[in-house]
Formats: sequence, C-alpha cells, structure tokens
Amino acid sequence: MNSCYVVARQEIRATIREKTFILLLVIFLGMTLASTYIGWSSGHTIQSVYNSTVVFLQEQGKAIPPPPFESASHLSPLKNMIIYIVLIGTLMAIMVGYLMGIRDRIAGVTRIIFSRNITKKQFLLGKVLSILFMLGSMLLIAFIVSTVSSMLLAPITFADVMRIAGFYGFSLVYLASFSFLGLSFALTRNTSAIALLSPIIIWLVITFMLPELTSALYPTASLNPILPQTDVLQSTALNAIHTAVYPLSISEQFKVVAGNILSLPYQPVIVRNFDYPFWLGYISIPVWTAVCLTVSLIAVGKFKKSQGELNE
Amino acid sequence: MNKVVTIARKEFRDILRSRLLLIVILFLAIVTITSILVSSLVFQSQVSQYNDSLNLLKELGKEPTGPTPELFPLNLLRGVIDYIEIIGAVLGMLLGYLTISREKNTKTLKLILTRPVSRMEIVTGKFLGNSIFIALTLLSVGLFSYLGLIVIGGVELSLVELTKLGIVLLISFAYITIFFSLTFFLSLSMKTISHALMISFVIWLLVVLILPQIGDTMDPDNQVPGGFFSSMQLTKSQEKQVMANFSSYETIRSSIEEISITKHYERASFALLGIKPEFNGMPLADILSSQWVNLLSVFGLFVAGVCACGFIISRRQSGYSFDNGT
Repeated sequence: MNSCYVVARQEIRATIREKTFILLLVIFLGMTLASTYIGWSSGHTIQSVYNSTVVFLQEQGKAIPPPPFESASHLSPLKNMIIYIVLIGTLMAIMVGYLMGIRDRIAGVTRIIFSRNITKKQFLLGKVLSILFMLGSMLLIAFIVSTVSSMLLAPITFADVMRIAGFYGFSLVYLASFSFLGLSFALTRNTSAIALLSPIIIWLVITFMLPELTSALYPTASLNPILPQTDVLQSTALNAIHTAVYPLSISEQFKVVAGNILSLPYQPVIVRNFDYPFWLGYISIPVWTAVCLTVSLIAVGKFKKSQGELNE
Repeated sequence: MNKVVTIARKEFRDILRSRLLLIVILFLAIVTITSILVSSLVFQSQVSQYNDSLNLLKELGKEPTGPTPELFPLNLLRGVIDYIEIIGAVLGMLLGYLTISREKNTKTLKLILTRPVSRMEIVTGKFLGNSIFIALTLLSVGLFSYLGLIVIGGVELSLVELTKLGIVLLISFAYITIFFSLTFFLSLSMKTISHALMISFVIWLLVVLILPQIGDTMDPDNQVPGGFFSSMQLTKSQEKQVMANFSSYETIRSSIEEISITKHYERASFALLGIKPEFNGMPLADILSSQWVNLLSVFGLFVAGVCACGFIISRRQSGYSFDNGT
C-alpha cells in the first residue's frame, strides 16, 4: 500500500513542477473568476437592454412582452462555469492524466520503477490517487473562487453554497473520466503525439460531434450556456438519432445535470414526443467514469514493464 | 530549387505514412458528412413544418404571411466551418510539431546538414510539403462537402457558389497554416519539443474556444433561447436602434472577439457561405469588400507566421534547436 502512496506523491510533485500544467491551471482559475463577472455583467446588461426595449416599444405604441428571463436563479452568473468545465477543465484533466502516464516512459524509468517492490495495481492506484488529488485541489480552489465572487455580486444562502459544492463535486466525477482516458492512452500508445491526440479526439467527439447529432447544435453553438432553440420537432430522422445517441452524449448530460444542481432553469433545446429524463446524467456520467477507470485498469494490465519506455 | 522540392517530397511522404494524420483526416471527413446530414435534416424539417402551417392556413381560408423557407445550399456547410475552426487548427499544430519532432527524434537533421543544403532550403521544403498536405486535406473536405450537398442535401451548386466555396477553402488554408506556423515556430524555439505542442494547445484553447465563447456569452441576443430580440418581436433595424444605447458594451464585446483570429476566419467564411442572411444574394465582389478587415487579418497573420518561421531558422541560435532537445 505504501508503494502506491510513493507513486502518488511523486506524481503530484512532478505535475506541480510542469509549467504547462501551471499555465492551464492559471487559465482555468482565471476563467473561474471571470465567469462569475461575465455572467453577472451580461445578466445586468440584458436587463438594461430589456428596459430600453420597453421604452422603444412604448414609443411605437406596441404591446410589451414580459421579460423572457424572469425565471433566472441568483446562481445564474455561474452558468458559464459549466461551459468552462466542459472546455478547459476537461482539457486540463486530459493533460493531467497524459502527463502522469507519459512522464515515466519519456524519462525511461519504468523498468527502474518496476524493479522495486511494486505491483501494476499499486502503480495504477498511485496514479489514480494523484489524479483525484490534483483535480480535487483544482476544483476546491475553483469552488472557493466561485463562492466568494458570487457572494460579492449577489446575496447567496447556505443552500446555494451547497449547490456550488455539489456542482464542483459532480465536475470532479466528470473530469476524472477524461484524466483516466489520458492516462490509458499515455500508457499504451507508442508515440507521445498519438497518446495526446487520441483522448483529445474522444473529447472532440463527446463535446461537439455528439451534441450536433442529438440536438442539431452547431459545434460553436454548444459553447454558449444559453442554447439556441432548434425546432426539429417534425424530423423523424433527427428524433430517431437523438433517441439512439443521447445516452452517449456525456457532455450534454453533464450540462443538464450541472444546471439542475445549480438550480438554473432547464431549457430543452428541442421539444420531442419522447425525451430522456434530466436525471439520466446522474447515472450515466458516473458509469462513464467507471468505464474509463476500467480502461485504465486494462491499459495497466497490458503495460509491458520491460518495454514501457518511449523511444521517439 | 531541386533541394527544396526533394525535401518537400520527403516531408509529404512522411506525413502520408503517419497514422496520426490519417486519424485526423478520417475524423474531418466523418464530421463533414455528419454536419451536412444534420443541416439537411433540419432544413427538411423546416420545410415540412412550413408546409403543414400552409395547409392549416388554407383550410382556415387564410393567406400565409411568413417567408417561405429558402434553401441556400452553402448554408448547410456551417458545421463544416465550425469543425475546420476547431479540428483544422489541431491538424495544423500537429503538422508543425511532427515536422520538427521527427527530425529531432531520429537525429536525421544532423545528417541532412552535412550535405550542401542551407537551413532556409530545409525550412522552405518542410513548409512546402506540409502546405501541399494541408491544401490536399482541404480539397478533400471541399470534395466531401460538394458530394455531401449533392447526395445528402439533394442540391446542385452554381458556378458562383463553387467559387465562393473555393475562396472559403483558400481562407481555411491560410487559417490552418497559421496554427502550423505557430507550432513550427515554438518547436524550433523551445528546448523541450513536447512543451511546444502543449503550449500550442493552450493558445488554441484561448484563441479558438475561450475568446469567441466569451464574446458569444456577452451578446445580449444570446441570453434567451431562440434570441432575445426575436422573443421581443423586434426587427433587425429596431434591434440596431435599441443596441445603439449600448455601444460601449458592444465595442468591448466585439474587441474581445476580434482578438481571436478564429472569429475573423468565421466572419469571412460565414459571409461567403451566406450563413449571415444579409449576404445571401449579394455579389461576390461586395461580400469580399465588406470582409476586407477579416480577410486582411487572416492573410496578414498567415504571412506573419511564415516570416516568423523564416526568421527563427535564419538565426544562428536556431542550430541549437535543430540539433538538441527532446
């Protein structure tokens, strides 16, 4: 058991020394801080735009529609954070997993590591612990930043703080899956570029391609926390694709669950005859993470102790 | 000149042998077809809904007031542009990284440098080989798009539309080459080459995803599903009158977007493909003249990238980068 702690401690130290990781961490935390302000500022502006529109319509003698954002919760400024988890958080998670898998192979020390009293399972457990520690620490800081910045901009209750904590806790489960993928490919691929590119391609599929298939969302449109309404109610083909593919569309489900945890108003992109329940993500995302962990377990099982080094 | 061509040919063969690039190109082909398929289904659905409403109105003895859905075939390529923005940039970065890492890892560059070949010829050859590959990849995307529009969308392109598609592919070439130059430059400048790839990914994240996302999020019209101004039943000109009171906010928002080269690429491409409705039916020359700032930004940065690579290679210290590093 001690061996896995040694591996975990070494991985954490080495990752903290990585300049690229620090750079990504700074961007992530910077965006965490900025997201609250951007959310607050855009909410404030839209209220002013609505007021101006009301004056304009009154001058024209037209009827005044009710404000379309009345149901906004006071955690709404954090809605951008959901997107930043899906964008920056996942890339950072891939980077963490990748670095933890590739570092020993590039340094050519895998044979030395396995010449000591350590099993493959302890090796993996050490890596998994270090991944969870790194991601957990990063999200803990993000939680503090989000809570304090939200408190400064609007009065929030203890229940709101718990919601923010729940959101970051669930994000940890989501992000861990991408780290496990990064780790698996870093342990099994023959070149570092393929090891990095493979989980990034999976991320591209999950983040952009599947939402396009399931909800007819253009790739860049899925980056907006407020989704456009794409009216494809009458398309039998699109509804069939949605029914078949949505359970695999992990990023969409994460957005729905995260919005639910933060108590944001639910905005279905498409109104359909049949739709999956919003809570599907509460089950499918932990299952997806467990699958990715299993992939890591298989990758470590296949890992050749004597030929683990990368000779690029 | 022969030496440059020889190096370019060798570079091109190396790329073709790489499984990595095969994966990226295959992925680009899949997303191109997927995107056209989804766009076509959405359009068919809109037409079907319009026809249903029309029949209902006829039964009620009323005349339709809304516009008939009109298909502009190039509009179906919106998703393709989005994917070139994201994945095309990744392809450029990988090419820039691999072209240097191959030589550093196999130590073949030292061997090449023992021959009567200048550094500038090596770089020019590498640039040429990779440029040809990028151009062929984009031609494949263009071909997939063209076939996708015919087979899936059931539409034919006119000569003007084909010209517009050709210009978009040319802009895409410049856009991808910018990211190639960035990673090429960083790979030559940095001691640890794998760091160059990761730094490039960080820049990609900022430029391609984060900055445009911030701009989109700040857009008041994006605060409500389906658009704020549509929900308030305002026309485009009325929207402009209301937003005239928020010019400072809009300037800040637009400036954030304009820091990103991706947004310039997107604006120019969307205008040419008529994705922004005001450009549908506008003569090509007028579209190009209205987009001169975006076109200048993309091609200006393309030229700057090429010059930066030429500069780094001509520096004496660059010999260090070529011969060392992992």
